[in-house]
Parts: sequence; C-alpha cells; structure tokens
Amino acid sequence: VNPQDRIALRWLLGSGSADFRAAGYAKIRAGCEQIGMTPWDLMTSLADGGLQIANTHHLLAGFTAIRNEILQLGQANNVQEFVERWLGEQVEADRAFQVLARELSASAESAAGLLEALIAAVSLPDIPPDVTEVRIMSLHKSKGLSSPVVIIAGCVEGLLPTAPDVEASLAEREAELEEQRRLFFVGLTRVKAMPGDNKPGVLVLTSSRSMSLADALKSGIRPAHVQYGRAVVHTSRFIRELGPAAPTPVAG
Amino acid sequence: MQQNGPGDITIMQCQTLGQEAVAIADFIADLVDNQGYAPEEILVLAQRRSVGNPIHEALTGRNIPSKSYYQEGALKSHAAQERLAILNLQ
Repeated sequence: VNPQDRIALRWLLGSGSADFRAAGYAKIRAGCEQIGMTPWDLMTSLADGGLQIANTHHLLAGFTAIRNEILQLGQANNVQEFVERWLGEQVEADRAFQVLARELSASAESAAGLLEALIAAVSLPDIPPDVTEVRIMSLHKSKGLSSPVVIIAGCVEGLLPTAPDVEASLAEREAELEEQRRLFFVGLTRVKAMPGDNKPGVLVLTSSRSMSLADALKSGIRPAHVQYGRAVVHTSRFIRELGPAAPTPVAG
Repeated sequence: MQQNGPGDITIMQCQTLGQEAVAIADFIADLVDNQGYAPEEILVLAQRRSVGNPIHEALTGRNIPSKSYYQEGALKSHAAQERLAILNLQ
C-alpha cells in the first residue's frame, strides 16, 4: 500500500485506452526525469496547476479521479467503512471478487492488511491431493510438492525477481531479493525423477523478450523499456546466476 | 539437487509471452503424447496468472487437461483489477 506505487498508477492511468496512453505518459516520464519528481508528485503538481505539460489532459483527468477517490478512502473511520467505499458499486456485478474481498476484510486491520490477504488468497488456493491434470500455480504454492516435470515460466526481471520497492532501504531491497532467490530455488527443487518408472527429472526454465504493456503492468512487471507499445523485459538474473554449468538457452 | 535423481535442464527463450505459452504447451504435449509422462506428473510454475493463463489455454487447445490454481475469477474482471490497483495506492 503505497501512494507512490508507479506500476499501479501507470496501470490505472492507461486502463481503458488501446495504447495505454503511451504517448502522454512518455511526456510525464520525461518531466519526472527532468525535474526529479515521482509520477504521483508530478501529476499532483499538474492537477494543482503548478506545472503544465501539453497533451496530457486525458491522463490528468484520470489522475484527478484517482486522487479524489484515494482522498475519500483515506477519510474512512475503520476498515469496514473503507471496504464499503472501496468496493462501491463498480464491482457489483463481480460477485467472486466482492465475496472474497468482504470475507477477507472481516479479519483485516488495515488497508495494507486487506491487500496482503487478497494477494495471498489469489495465489494460494488449496490444491486437492488427487489430481489428473497439469497443475499451473505460483512458486509459493508449489512448496511441499514434487513432480518429475517442472516448468518455471516467466523467468524475467520484474517478475522473478519483482522490481524493488523504490521506497525501501538498500538492506530491505537486498532482503527481498534474497527471499525471491530462495523462492526460485524452491521451484528448482520441486523436480524429482521417477527412476523406477524410467522417468528422469525434467526441469525447464522459460522466458520471453516482450509482452503487451497491459499484461506487464497488470502483472506488476516494470519493463526494461517500452518499444512500439510493447513491454521489453530481460531474462531473470536467477537464470544467469546458475552459472557456466547451466545449459545454453534454446529458442522457443 | 542430486538427491532428486537424474534429469535434464532446458532453458528456453521466446520472443513474446504468447510464443512462450505455445512453446510450453508443445513441450508438454510431446511429453504426454510421446514420452509416457502423465499430465498430473507435470507442474507449471508461474508467478502471475497473466503468465499462467495463456499456458492453461494453450494446453486446453491441445486437449491436455490442466488446472490453474490462481483462484480464477476473483481478479478476472477489469473492475476487480482496478479496485486492486486503487488499494495499492491507498
């Protein structure tokens, strides 16, 4: 929970636009670099009239709506009131989300606690003991499981590991990176051969060089750069860290 | 990892996320159709549903049973994703 969360802000500002308002946001980014401000602070100055940047009126209208809602939510007296305001009428038709959010809010002590519980819930559902399908899940969820074939997909910077929190201290960033490195190792060690059945272990690590900007932002991935409206991403450092013993990458 | 038995490691790089999903589904189809692995012996790990779902769809297109464990539906709608982004900023 962070008003300076660049990825959430960027997603909200681009949401609903075919090109994610890439041209306008490029002007905002250029302004940030020139003045040395965060996107949130720069857009606050734009909204308050302290600054002006041409051709950003759509972004500014979106930002004003977002800021107003954040201010209104901040005035809630308790978590329940916050949740009622936050859910509002916009997700009336989205029963699954509404049920989950209300259920989790009952035991949340703050907006941050609710966010944490929501993220855990969507990534850690229960897995039945007997399955007959290929199982697709997060690395967190795979703890305790083993299988002769393990494929770790999306091994890209920004996702594995995630981008560091810009507000965190260097020590906090290093601790978070180490936690994600440990998680990657959890994934690697899920593979277990079945020599009795003549099935050697198969471990596959995959990555891609680009994805739609919408997919990247929706996944919380901060791209290395944006090219023709697509997010360009780099292969995860965790693959590089496997060292010279790792096999040569093949094209997929 | 030696205690986990013999095996092979492959590192695969694709141009796009869509191609990555197709390559993984093709790889799994070969394991199931030609190498004697059962679907339940295959685990696909992806940190986000937006990465896991295209793989799920590509497997479905090849008639390979798969199940996604990301509590599908809860964050599927645009409205729900917007609410989560607002919560991130609060």
